[in-house]
Amino acid sequence: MQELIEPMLTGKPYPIKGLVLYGTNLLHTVPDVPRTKRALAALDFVLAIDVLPQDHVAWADVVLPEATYLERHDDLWACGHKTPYIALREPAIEPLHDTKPGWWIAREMGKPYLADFEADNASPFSTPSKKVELYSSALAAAGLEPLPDFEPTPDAPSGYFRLLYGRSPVHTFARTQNTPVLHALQPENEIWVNEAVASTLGLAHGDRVRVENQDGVRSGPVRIKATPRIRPDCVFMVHGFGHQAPGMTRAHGKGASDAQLQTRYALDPISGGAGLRVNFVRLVRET
Amino acid sequence: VARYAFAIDLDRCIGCQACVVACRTGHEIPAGETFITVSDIVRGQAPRLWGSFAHQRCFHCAAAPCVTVCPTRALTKWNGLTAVDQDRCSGCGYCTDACPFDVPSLTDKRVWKCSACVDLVRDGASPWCAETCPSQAISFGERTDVLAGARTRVAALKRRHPNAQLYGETELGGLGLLTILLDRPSVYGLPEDPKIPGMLTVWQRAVQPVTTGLSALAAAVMGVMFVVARRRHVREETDRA
Repeated sequence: MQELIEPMLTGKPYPIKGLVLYGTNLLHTVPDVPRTKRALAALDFVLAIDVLPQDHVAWADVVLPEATYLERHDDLWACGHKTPYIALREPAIEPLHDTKPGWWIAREMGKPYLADFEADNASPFSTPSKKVELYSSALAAAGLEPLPDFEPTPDAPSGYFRLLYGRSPVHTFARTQNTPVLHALQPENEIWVNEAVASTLGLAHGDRVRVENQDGVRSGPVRIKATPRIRPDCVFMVHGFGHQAPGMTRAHGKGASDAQLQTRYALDPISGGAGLRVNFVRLVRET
Repeated sequence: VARYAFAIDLDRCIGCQACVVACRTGHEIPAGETFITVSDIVRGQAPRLWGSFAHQRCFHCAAAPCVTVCPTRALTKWNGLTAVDQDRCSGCGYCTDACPFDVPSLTDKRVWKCSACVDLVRDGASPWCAETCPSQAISFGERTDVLAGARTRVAALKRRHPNAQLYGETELGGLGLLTILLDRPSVYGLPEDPKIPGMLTVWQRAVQPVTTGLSALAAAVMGVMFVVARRRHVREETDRA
């Protein structure tokens, strides 16, 4: 997703004029939020499909409100793990409001183009060897590392910590912070700091700080969690907090957003995946 | 008569709080109250850490001190479980003082405490927490079955966790909530040997019988007084006549 932002701004390698946003929480997912906002402003058209008035929804020209998961069928989920299973979602109630399921919206929007659609019968192993390839001849032919090796990332500069992020079992991505019962359990996130490091810095568990990254971007106030559970050179926060949209009535203004602090990222040249744990932050005492 | 019990397996608990959410939703618990609190316990320093989860909730004691002190029968025992009838609660708070585990609390002058979903259990269903737990850490059923299952688990866990033990088999007459601990009770903030508060024993053994005795005595005196007064009255009437 983050690789779509640059073409929106520069038109290279191809122009992007419009965006249909579904199942992505744009301003909490893509690093360098100010750049994302500039890119949104540069587009001709933005369509947002969502169940919540999330931060990015306010940027859309057209909003198609989706039915919640309790009110819709969803794609059949077929999982081919060691124990394969199929999961089917069925609506428990009719939609309470004038909303439609995502698949219905997609079908209606796709109808004019259905004639152009052809079934894709690709084999699961479309490699040159027709086998699962650990050493990829295709990558070698493209001049890339055929068997990728570990490349160390730079350490945090003095006085800074590597910013890590992750999940809590209570919240799902940036979606559930406004849900009453989950909000009551975990209304805001904390910034985890090694307890020995915190005491050296004169910070106590529960103190409020702002987190400032290497580019001077500062988060909203967030509490210190002094814990033995983190290495001394890193800090950690649960993803999904720091909502700005006033429509997120409970979650709005609570905790800090890791996405806001990720103004830099490292790009994997092969997969295009973004490494976001390359941002360094320091803790500024809230006065 | 059935005797029900829960078992919580702390080797299986993943700390996800789904039991808390199911309980809050099922019972429409007001903000600020909860019947279950799950907190994490950590020892050591990264990356050498030991962690587990502590569950703070009603232990459903067989000899439940809260039931003993409750003057309005808002707290009662039902098939091994400690049930709550909020409509009968006067908000006196005796139960909050009596509980050795600091479980009951008062909000809006009513007691708030896990009632083991007795309404659901009466209908043959399981309590919300046991029904919801995604890692099958919470089991519920006949105490003898639950106890047998818990003992088997502790025996198996001893290989990985030498201090693993079952909490609640005999404590306070046998708890209705058995906990499979990975370490000593004190690690989880639990009393190693929970006791009914001393004053409560006094209350139960001395004050209650004495007050009952005094009430009986008062009634007897009243009776005698009545007879005496009646006699006098009759005599006065006779004298006047």
